[in-house]
Amino acid sequence: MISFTLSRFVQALTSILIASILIFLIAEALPGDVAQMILGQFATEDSLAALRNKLELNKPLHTRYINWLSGVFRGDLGTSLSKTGVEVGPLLLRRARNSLVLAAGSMIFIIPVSFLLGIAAGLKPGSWLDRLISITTLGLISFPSFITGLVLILIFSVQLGWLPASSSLDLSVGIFQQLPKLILPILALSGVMLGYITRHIRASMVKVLRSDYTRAATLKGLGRRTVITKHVLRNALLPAITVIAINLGWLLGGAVVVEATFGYPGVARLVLNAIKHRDIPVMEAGLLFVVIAYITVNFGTDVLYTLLDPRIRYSRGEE
Amino acid sequence: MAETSLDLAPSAWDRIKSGLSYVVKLRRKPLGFAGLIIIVFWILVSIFAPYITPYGPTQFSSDKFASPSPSHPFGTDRWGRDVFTRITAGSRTAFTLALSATLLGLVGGTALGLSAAYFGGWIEEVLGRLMDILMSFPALLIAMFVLGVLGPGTINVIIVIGIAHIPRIGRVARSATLQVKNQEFVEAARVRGESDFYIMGAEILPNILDTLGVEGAIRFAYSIFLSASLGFLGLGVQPPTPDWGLMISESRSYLQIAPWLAIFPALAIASMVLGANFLAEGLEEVTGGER
Amino acid sequence: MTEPILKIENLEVTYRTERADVRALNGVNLDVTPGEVRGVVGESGCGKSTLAFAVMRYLDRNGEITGGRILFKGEDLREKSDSEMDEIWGKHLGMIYQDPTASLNPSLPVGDQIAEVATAHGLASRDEAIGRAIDLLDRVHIRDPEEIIDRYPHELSGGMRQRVGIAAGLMGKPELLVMDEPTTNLDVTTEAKILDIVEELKNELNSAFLYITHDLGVIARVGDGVEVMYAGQVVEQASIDELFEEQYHPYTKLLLRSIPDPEGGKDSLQEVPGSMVDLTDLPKGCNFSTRCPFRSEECSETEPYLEDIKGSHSARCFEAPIEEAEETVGEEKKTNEGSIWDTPPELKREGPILSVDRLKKHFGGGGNWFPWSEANPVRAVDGVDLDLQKGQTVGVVGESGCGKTTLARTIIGLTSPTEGKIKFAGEDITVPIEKRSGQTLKRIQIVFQDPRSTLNPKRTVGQAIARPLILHGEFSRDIIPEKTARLLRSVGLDPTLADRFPDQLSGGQKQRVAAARAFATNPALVLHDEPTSSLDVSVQATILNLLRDLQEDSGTSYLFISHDLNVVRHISNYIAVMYLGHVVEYGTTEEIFSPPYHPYTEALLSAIPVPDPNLSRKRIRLTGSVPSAVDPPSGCVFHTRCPRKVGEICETESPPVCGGGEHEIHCHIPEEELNEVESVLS
Repeated sequence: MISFTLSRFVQALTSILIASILIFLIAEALPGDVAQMILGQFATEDSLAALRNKLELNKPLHTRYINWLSGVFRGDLGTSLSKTGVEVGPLLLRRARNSLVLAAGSMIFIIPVSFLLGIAAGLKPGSWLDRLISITTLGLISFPSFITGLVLILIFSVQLGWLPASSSLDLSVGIFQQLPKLILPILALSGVMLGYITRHIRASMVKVLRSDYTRAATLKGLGRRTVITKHVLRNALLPAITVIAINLGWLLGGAVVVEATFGYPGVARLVLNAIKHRDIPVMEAGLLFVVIAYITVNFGTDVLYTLLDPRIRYSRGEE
Repeated sequence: MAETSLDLAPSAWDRIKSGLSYVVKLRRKPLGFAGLIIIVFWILVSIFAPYITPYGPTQFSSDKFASPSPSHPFGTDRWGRDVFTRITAGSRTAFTLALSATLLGLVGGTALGLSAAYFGGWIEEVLGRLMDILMSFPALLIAMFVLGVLGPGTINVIIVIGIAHIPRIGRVARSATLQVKNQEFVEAARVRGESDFYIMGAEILPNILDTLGVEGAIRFAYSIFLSASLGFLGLGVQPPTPDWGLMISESRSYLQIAPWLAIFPALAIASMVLGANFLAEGLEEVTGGER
Repeated sequence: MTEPILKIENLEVTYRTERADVRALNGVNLDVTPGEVRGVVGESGCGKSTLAFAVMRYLDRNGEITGGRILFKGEDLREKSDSEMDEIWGKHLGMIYQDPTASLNPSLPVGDQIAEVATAHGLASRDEAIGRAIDLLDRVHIRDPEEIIDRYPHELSGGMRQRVGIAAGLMGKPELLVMDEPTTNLDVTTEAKILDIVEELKNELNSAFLYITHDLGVIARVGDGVEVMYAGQVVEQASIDELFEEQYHPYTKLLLRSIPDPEGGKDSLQEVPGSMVDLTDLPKGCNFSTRCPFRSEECSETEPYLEDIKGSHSARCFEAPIEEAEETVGEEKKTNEGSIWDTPPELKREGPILSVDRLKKHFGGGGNWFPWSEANPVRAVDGVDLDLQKGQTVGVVGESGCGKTTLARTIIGLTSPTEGKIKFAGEDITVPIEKRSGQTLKRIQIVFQDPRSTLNPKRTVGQAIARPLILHGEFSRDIIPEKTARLLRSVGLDPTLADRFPDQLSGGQKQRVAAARAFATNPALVLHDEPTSSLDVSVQATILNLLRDLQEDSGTSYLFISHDLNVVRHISNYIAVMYLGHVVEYGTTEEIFSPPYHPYTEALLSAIPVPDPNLSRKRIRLTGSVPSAVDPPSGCVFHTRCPRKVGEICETESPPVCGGGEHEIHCHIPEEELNEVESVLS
């Protein structure tokens, strides 16, 4: 168990390291001269050279990578190139908090609803309820979140006027005082994932219900209720943990479209704008954050899963 | 001896026949059949797009923000362009993007996944790790990133979406290959001294095509989904090319006065993605694939 | 006579499939009385499992009881609702399953899974129930039951899991226990122990048992009465003694003779002509009429009833009792059109065609990425010597995990050996398959175990057989179709089958195609890895006969891997008995089957179920289960389970070879003592 956790941990670290190299290399490959971009078109050769020197752009690739990485470890993420003088660290932290709030909000909504729907559909495969849920969830995964978002805006903001259409947060007020601004983004963000997780749970329920051990439990005369609660649910819901984890990672970084639709200040939109403005320090930091968040969540899930599932605990214990 | 007509390779006709047999079976799956009809509908629209309406997709007129009417069934936008025409023309953009990207993803993903699973060992380890890392970026984020490097444009969008598909298709191809790889007919091929290339291409690939077909349909749906999202973010196809995502993005400032600018492209995207997903669902049932 | 507890009357079960309705049971009548084990025997597709689940009133979603009654304690189970059945299931009617692994919940400790039967029916409190679970585990001879109840299923061996399944079945003290092939997935020595338990239970409890099996040997051991099923009907019904004394139905008669007999000679086995009828397209009259060598005109006109013939013995046959049959072996003997073996395999020089020297194959271990997770290797094959002479057959026999399949795979080159040498016709071929010459590849072939996966489902039969001919490029393309047709004929198949896809063939036909494919390149050595173990016995007989015919015609040498001693005995000149990666005994077939024995061979021989209830044999049972090949016992690998362990020497030193001549017994027991042992088969 411990050895499994340890090797999984090393694996996660390696993945993060490789990802950081990839991020760095791709950022390097971005077209355009950074110094030129900062100083503008009419900069003199001398001032450009001076800036390149200052930014260490002349040093070899690996030196700059190591400098960048050690900066990351020290918590020094550099300063933004597009918003002059703004420190990347605090900026990222603020945006990360916003993203986290959005992700957590979605999860709080998604998990109970998808479990409920997935179980209800899976218990009676082929029933009208199952069909209804299946088609609805297929619909949910088919609508990109900006469409869901626009529909929500059209209904709740334009028609009914209940909720704000824009979710740009007011920095002077705490995020929880601005809850109404969160509702529509959370709903829009939840759609696709709600569909995925529900479908996954349904499939898992159907599989477990058809298993030999469910049959054996039924033929012990335990009664349907006991069979479901004691034998089916646990085995059917365990695999859902992994799916939720993957989606959680996605929520933290993949919410670009929702953030753009509602003007919500999250990490993803920060990265989007950084890419558009060639703001390399912000872009690198944002991406690294997304990767670390994703890999951490996955690592945590694997460990949790191992704790919960005796089979894995056993087989991995032997490794 | 004459009674044995020995075909040494399945003829093209056999392939078509087996493809058609799936269509026939699809008829019994309401959802899959509905998907098939929606997709066929859009294929027809995209083929006949220039002949359906009297306007050109980029043809301006003075009739701006006209609400839906017989002459402009879906209204007009801020340049007075006919929304119906732009939607029909946009279906061509959508198909071009989605089909090419899906194909790219299928070829790349299958090549990687199949060889990773077949060779196993460190090759699988390295490729698997690589795909895991690629997958750890949300597809949209990779797309943004790469488009940042390459710049927006149709070809780049295709490449980006295709690349984003590769790890996912690779994973599917890998697990399908793993199921086939240790079957005895593959070992029999090794025992008689077939090359790795032959075994992968002639023994394994035909047996994972069903799975890849279903996955292809899912990825096609997702391609539309992604390209629309990229268009919406302004990273995809550039104006004035008629693109559904872009149209929605442009409509946002006029939601109050001209909601049809958003509604019709949204319906177009939704129906095409939904159709492809329905089709994938039906195909999965028909091919009996378990995934 | 006591009242039957279960009375099945005219039972009909239909499965609705997309293609057609399938009548899986067609008018089944049978009684089970308390204290008896009633066996139901038949080959795949005969409906025996459907019968078991129909009695439990738990059929698949598309299955339906379409006629008849199932009277359990006088009440028709068909009229019960699910909630009424909840009262009966477990408490009055219990079941034991074929696959103990899949039938136990992987995420619950086994103790809970046994105890819940009692708590659900309000028979005991949880603590009492756990106490009883411990008693029951003890009763099915599980050691340390207090500790085992907290284990999860995956932490137990297959045999232990099945005992847990039996304990769970007994927990509610049901009056009737339905056992659906409870030993089919187990090794023969484990099976013997489970059958012992069934016998004990029968004697101790007054419960009734409905015992479903495909194995006539098993039912001869534990059964009191037996029903033989064919195509959804009971074709013969008798007490055990009556049935094995004389068979009235032709199917039973042929079936019994198709089993390789431990006593019998090595003549060709009896075959049941044809193959199982299609349940959606039954013949007119008797279902067996299309395959019956004794049929009369009446048989294909009217349907026979199950008629009493003598005592409690009845059969569904107009001709019963049939006279002693004229010997009908198999279908018409294949016509050898001048033998397909144009060039008999020639050897470079005299000596063994295959010679394996100190061969070891260890899996895994060492190669891990992280030092703390480094594992010991699995010692699948751990020092095997073997010689195979031209035209001979060496059988390799052993239970699962003994390394016999790995041995075959290493010889053919699918995995590379860790140590040791493999020589083929004097040439060193200790290299992976990719590095072997085309000549070597052509001349060593293999026939695999699983007919479902041995042929590429996307290739026709003709393509499958033609491919090796094309690959090795000896023939011009235009004669390949002719060559393919001849190969098909040589394995007893119609050449028109060349255009079929594998899913249009029966299991036996697929194995024939696999044999044709292996023989296409005129090999000098063919490895057979359990080629018949997935087949029904009657089909097995046809394949074994075919393999022998092919060997006679071609002079090819065989290495024949099997878990079934009787099959190996039937086909081999020499036998190697393997245990945990080692050959523990080697000798001619006669030497292996008669004393002196290695203690493991002796236990194996005594465990085989024999289709003869009168045959009593020494009962030698091995304790515990096979140790892990990751950390095999020191000294003699068998010492942890050996019933005749000499002493400390067995744990410290690897055993010497005794026996004399070609006979090799790897054992510390002095040769004189080994010689004193009586024959297991008496």
